[in-house]
Amino acid sequence: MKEAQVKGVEVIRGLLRNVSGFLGSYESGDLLKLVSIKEGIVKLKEEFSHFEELQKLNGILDQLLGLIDNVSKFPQEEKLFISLATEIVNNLLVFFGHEISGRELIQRLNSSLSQLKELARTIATKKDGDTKDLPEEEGYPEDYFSSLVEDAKLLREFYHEATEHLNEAQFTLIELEHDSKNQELINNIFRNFHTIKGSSAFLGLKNIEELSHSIEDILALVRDGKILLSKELVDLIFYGIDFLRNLLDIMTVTEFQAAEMKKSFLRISIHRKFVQLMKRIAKEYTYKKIGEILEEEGKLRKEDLEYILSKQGETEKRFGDIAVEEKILSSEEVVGALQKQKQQEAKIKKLGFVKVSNEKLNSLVDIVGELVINQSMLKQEILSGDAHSTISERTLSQLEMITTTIKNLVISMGMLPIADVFNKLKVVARNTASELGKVVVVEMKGEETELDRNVIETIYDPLMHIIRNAIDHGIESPEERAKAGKDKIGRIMVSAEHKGSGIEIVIADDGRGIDKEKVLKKAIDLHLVDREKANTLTEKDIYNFMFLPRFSTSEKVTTVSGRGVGLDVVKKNLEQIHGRVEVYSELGKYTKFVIKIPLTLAIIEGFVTKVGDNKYVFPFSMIEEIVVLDKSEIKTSKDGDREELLIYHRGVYVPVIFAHRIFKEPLSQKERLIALLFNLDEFKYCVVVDEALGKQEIVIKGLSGALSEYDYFSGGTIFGDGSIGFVVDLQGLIEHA
Amino acid sequence: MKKYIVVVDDSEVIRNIVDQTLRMANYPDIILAENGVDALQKIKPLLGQIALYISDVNMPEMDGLTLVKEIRKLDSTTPIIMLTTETDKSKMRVAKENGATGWIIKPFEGEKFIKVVEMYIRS
Repeated sequence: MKEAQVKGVEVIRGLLRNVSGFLGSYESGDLLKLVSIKEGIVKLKEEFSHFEELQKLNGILDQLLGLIDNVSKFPQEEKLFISLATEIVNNLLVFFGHEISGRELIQRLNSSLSQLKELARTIATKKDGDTKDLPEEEGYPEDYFSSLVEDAKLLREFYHEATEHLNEAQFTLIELEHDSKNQELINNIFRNFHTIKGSSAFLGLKNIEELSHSIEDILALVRDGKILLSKELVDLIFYGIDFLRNLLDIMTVTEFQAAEMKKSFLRISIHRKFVQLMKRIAKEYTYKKIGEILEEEGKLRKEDLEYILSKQGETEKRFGDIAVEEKILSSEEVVGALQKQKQQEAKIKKLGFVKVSNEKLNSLVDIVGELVINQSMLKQEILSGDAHSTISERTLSQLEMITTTIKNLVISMGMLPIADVFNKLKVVARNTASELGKVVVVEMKGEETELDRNVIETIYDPLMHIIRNAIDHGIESPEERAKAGKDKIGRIMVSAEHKGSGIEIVIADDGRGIDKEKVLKKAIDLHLVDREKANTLTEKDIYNFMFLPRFSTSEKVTTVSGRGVGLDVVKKNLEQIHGRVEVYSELGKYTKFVIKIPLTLAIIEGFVTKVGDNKYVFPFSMIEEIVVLDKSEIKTSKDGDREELLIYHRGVYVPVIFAHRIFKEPLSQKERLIALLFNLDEFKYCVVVDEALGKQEIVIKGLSGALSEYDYFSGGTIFGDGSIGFVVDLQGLIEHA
Repeated sequence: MKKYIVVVDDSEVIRNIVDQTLRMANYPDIILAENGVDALQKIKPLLGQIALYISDVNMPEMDGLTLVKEIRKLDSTTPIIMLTTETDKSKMRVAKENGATGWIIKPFEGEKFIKVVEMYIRS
């Protein structure tokens, strides 16, 4: 070949690839892309004109160009046009890649050409008619409902059952909107439609059967990961539910009398289009295997397909490789099919997850905990022995690194984003607000924040209670808000973020705030506090009353909250996961619940100290500074009859707490003291211990029996040398100081 | 003869750009309208003589999606092209369901725009 020709072929291949790309990503109605396709074909024609032997290809390109201007008005035909054009371009690509002969090309193109001509004829006849390419309304044949049972009682029962399933399905669908891959939800909604389909078939309600069947089929594909539950698909299913409701409505309107029902049913067939649409989606959008794609394109005979598949079973080679080796397909064909598959795959986004049972995961966490302990035991043993060499030290540090990596991995496996919980809360908020006739916008922040799955399971209930409370008690009615000069729409902000070694979840509403006087009055009425002592209570003390059992300030009992259960449950649930809750509020302006929970229940970075004869572990991330003090630096300040120890440190007075006092250990007699400086809720505290032993990974074990009652311990741990220690809960410690 | 191109957009700037682009490409018969209501008033006396509709999506009074529906009640065949900044495909899908022929995403190059127009009218 001459050089100019080689270059020309390169240009042609480039153009073909461009056009093929445009065709692959074309979406009906995207006019600019359509123009690009057209331009590409025009340029191809130009290039072809340089080669005498290629000019006969111009016929088919002209045919394409003739159609492209008209086809965009007819969606059905447009689809066919795009697929024919794709086929033609791909065949040309294969030809210019020297994979097939000119004769083979002409053969292939001829079949495309005849289809194109056929398409041109269809369009020519349509062009004069209506642009809207809607088929005639398809009615039902007269005998369609002949098997409808004439038992009003059964039909009524079906009506109730189906209504319930639809309600459930609708609710699940709302959740799926935000959590489209949740298998449990998908299974639930699948069962809903499956049941409706089953019973309607039994009763001869063919239209309902048809409709629910079409949705069930789609959901089965979703369940098997063969189709992505996109926003659009969710919307479609919502429409389907509406159609089903309409049909169910007809059942009640006709008072479950079969004859009347039949008459009405025969008249309403609009949903058949929906059924057709669902079927089309099921067919067109599902994930196909490469063999299936090739067979559909007519490039592979069924026998060959089966042969390759059997070969694949024996050799574990890839499908395409076998096909090319056996000379059944050209590599271009395989690549073409692979590209097609990839496009589909992108559409479907197969999930890359493995399911692991909770139980297995938990025992893995436990085992890793043991591993961490053993590793530190080994370290201690080697370092304290005389025989340790640089090699053993290096191996040891390697081992340490590996253990840490495994630990982090295992912890992250057990982590889930809080988004699931947040989305459920959105649904709760929506329902609660509409129940109470209030308008509320819920804003969410930090949904991606990850939490231990065990924590996630527990956190939903308390958060739900707080949200319901916020809408019921916090957010005022629209009229009341307008009167107070607020926006009629109430706002609730829910956020989650990492803070220190834990997670902070904030739920804030811009409602009427908490009336402290009211809370206090109620507390006095319930004899929770003496009238005289009431004046000495801090804001925090007053809010704490709300977390006591049977405490509710709402005068009215509503279905939502206000029965006096709620906040005490919130507190209890949170305690289970070592979480705590704080309340901030300003009357008439806002209420804010701040919930702090640890990231994981299993392993923390601890700072080990010795107080008296025992070891105490403090959460390392909370420590700001370790200071050495002279006993004389500690000053005593008197606040009424309360005596407080303070040190002056970096310009501020910091209260000093002797850990000994709280843990009931003998007080240190030393003059120089070691103290840990903490920052908790923007206050600094200085905790005096006897010895600082160092940072270490700590596996927290729950405390049992009498020990579990001390709320200044969040757990216990076993050290490498077999000794035990207590894990300190700082908040608890400070409350006891 | 069908000759008019109806251009509906609430932005005067865009209206003028489209107007000029079309004039430069030798399409002199252009009807400009500010919104759906305005457009419908101007369309009614010209039915049968319109070759192409070009409309914005977001407009006051009557938006493009409604306008398409209204036009289709009067004229079921003439192509309607939506001008949109929407990357939101679902809105475009609604437009198509309502009877629009297709869409062009703003901003666009004049040359490409004319090519699209040429697909529907020969000057």
